[in-house]
Amino acid sequence: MSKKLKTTQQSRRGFLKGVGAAAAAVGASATPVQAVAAITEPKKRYGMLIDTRRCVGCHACSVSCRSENNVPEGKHRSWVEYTEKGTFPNATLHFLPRLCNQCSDPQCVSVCPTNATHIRDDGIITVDADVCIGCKYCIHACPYDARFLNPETGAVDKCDFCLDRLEQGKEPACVATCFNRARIFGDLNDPDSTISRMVASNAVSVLRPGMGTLPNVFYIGLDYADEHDIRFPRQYIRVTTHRDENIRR
Amino acid sequence: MKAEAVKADRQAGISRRGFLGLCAAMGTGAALQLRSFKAIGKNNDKPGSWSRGEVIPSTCNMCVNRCGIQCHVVNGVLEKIDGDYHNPKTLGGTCAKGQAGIMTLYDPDRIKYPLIRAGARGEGKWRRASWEEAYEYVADNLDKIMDKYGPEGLLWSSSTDLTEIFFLKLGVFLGTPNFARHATLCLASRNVGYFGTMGGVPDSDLANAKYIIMFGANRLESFELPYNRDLISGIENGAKLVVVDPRMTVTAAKGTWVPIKPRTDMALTLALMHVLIKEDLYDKDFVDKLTVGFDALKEHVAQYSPEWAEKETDIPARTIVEMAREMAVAAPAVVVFPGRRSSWYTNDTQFRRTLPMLMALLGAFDVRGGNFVNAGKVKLGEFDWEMAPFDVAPCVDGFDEGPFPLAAHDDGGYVMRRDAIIDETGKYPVRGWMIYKQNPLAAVVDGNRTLKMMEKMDFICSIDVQPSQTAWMADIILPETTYLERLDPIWTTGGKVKFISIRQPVVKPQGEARTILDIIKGIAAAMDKRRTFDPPMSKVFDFTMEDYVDKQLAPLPIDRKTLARQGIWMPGQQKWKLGAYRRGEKDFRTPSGKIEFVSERFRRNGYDPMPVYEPPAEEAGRQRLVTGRYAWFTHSANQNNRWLNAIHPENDIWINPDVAREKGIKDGGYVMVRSRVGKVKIKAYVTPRIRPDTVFICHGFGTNSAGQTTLYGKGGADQVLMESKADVITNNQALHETWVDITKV
Repeated sequence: MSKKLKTTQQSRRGFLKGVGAAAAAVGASATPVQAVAAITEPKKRYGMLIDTRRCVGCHACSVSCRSENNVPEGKHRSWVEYTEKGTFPNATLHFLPRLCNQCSDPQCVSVCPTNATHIRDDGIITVDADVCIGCKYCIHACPYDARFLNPETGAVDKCDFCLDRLEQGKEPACVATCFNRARIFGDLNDPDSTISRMVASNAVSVLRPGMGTLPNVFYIGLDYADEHDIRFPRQYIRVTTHRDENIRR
Repeated sequence: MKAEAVKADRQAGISRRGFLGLCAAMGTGAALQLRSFKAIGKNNDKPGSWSRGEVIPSTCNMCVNRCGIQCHVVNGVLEKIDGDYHNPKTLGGTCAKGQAGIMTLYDPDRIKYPLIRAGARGEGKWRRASWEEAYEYVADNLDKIMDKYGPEGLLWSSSTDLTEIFFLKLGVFLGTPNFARHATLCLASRNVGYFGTMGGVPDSDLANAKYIIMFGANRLESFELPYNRDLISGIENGAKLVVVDPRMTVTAAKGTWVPIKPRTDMALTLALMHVLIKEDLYDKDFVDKLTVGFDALKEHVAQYSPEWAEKETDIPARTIVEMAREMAVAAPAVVVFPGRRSSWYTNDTQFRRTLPMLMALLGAFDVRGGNFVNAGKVKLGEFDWEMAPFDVAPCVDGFDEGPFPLAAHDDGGYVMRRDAIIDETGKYPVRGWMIYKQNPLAAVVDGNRTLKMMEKMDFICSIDVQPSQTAWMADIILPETTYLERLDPIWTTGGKVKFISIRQPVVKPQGEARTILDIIKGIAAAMDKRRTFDPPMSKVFDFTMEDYVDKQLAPLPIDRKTLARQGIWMPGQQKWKLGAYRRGEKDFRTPSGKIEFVSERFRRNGYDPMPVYEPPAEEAGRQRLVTGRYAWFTHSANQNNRWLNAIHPENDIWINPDVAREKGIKDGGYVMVRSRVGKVKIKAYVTPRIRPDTVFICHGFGTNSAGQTTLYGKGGADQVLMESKADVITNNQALHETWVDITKV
């Protein structure tokens, strides 16, 4: 079974749980009743599109996130990387806002021994701090360095698209504060949402597509080159992460 | 703040929570409660696990641009700041600084009660005083100085803000003529240059422009909403952004970077005008109708060919010609950006004059996509001060009597005033210094010389929220409330639309901090005990901020309570109107009523009526030092903010890779930077984003104040290196006139 199929099945199962135990017992094959339910109550898949052309690397998102989610000092749910390339006077500078990619096929979920990390019906991946034992498997499994051990809770912590704000009908803190409108947040399953239209009408890419994680955070104008890029062995490339610790790229 | 206390604070108060816990333990924050702290990740799936408390609209003060904010307050604790959706500036967004306002409010380093110096100046030994004692102490010292030297023995320093008026009035009523305000540390040369040419500084329609040229302006890092958003939208709409700067700033990264040799900007603008006129690309209609002196200009710029400019600026002649042609094609939708901080070189005012001239040649004024005159401001009610202005002594340095006839005399000339006080070349001695909302030790060129001026002072009082470099050297620090704890006078502004906004208290003051009006009242009452004023000082300041705001709002159809609820107020439907100048309905505020290529006012006062280029001095083997900021810092104000400091904990010196290789400097290694007046040890940042003949240091680091626990001991101070030079027409300090030697440590 391909990864994609597996994901669909998993999430469908999650959805069915919501519909009712009786329906779940029917099995994986979709009956007409379930199909109708799926149409009338379409599932959300939250995602974010970051237009790096509009990003000026001002860190409003990072600080807003820190304030909103009380992220401990030295840890990061959201951060901005600067990529500097070239030689004088032909130099460039690009910005790369980073956060958890809320992957559709997340490696952090599959390695979690306690199921503390799980994928919600709306595609957001959360960590249940009561269940998390702090084993850090997921921190190592995440190809995006988006997770950290929160010293205040003893549990692993990461971006959850500001669930508290979402539940009150607000955009995530980083999206709301971005005065240049470089971030667009919404439901990727709704073809009429701004994000779906933007994703459809622009050249978008994701970080590390080779990892097969199917991220739900998309970028326009992504430059993910780094100093170890074997394609440009002699070119000056420097990535400033504005994080204290060294992170894998 | 004693060193032990600072250390304890640092150990205990890493997080906001930790700090608040400390407050509660000390009994100062009994009323403070933490929000039922969402254990991060805990029960995340349950809806409505907590909700935001009260939402209070207010006006930000993390920089000087006063964006609208919404403050979420839960049980008396500020939990989150969001941008105000109703404010036309912010439309719901804030920058990193605005977000970090919480950390300025709950900063463990904040001064929470009056501190009187207990050791030598700068030693960092303080004793806590009551407010009554503090007022008596200040009044005692002011009285002593006024007895001995008269009121002119006092120097009065403050920076522009809504509350500055009360501090200034105290100085005026005591009778000192010596003010040192922020204009000559910032934008005096731009203002004088633009006023001398077109009678005012125009706004820029960045969102609709087709071609935007910025000279050294770094709008995407030292930003002001909504221009930042407009600029990005303009680029998205197809505008070409050209940034002329020796360093590749974020703004330059978003457009075309033209790495010009520093101090030769005027050569470029003159050459652009040369090409526009020579190739007949200028807007003849506009020039005929709305300018004077074109023939003289044509003759004047004939000498400044692109080939000549190439030698001066290091920009290929072909590029200059292309720039001029592209501008002409895009005209009139061209923005020639006026810039803001113009404290660069000694020829700044004349250089700034060339910008409106270039704009006029392109006809890019009073038109969509070009420069325009903004909508003006909502007119507020005037407050009647009970005391009339009276005659005072002339300024200590004679600034008001001649050397800078075009400059604004009320603002003073910082560099000149400092020289007069230190060298005793002034008319009389100045021995007392009152400082409010200003950090001259960091803000003025040649920091060691500012220290010398402090040595001359018998008494220094600093009113501040944090132990800034200047406050650390003061005799007494009076703790002011932050913008989140006080009501301020109403702010009125206008760009394409005009509106007013309110800054109001969202939480109770930390510790014993008081508003500036209360502090001024206290000093006034204490002065009344010692001297007789007519009317008595305490009577002059016998009003509350609420009274003041009510007076301001009197002519408007809105009251204070309603404004407090909605944050801003706009006068009805407004339409952005253009064309009054083109139709001849309005005149420029110049002697001729038009844009003046040749300024008779400049000629009368002994300056070149048209900008004349003079090549800069060269110092082979040395680098020119330029300064600026990153997007998350304001001047030297919030480098100590823990959240902002975490983004960039230590500043570094930008060095071109070729220079670094030549000098054996490694990226991340430390270097010693020496100028004629000072030296600084600082980390090297080797980058291709800067010219080989230039180095850059981000301003605001290298503090001498151990009270700034987050910042202390990190980075190097650029102002220590800078030589004491100033613009020749306005005495605006020249920050980029210093050459430095760099050696590996």
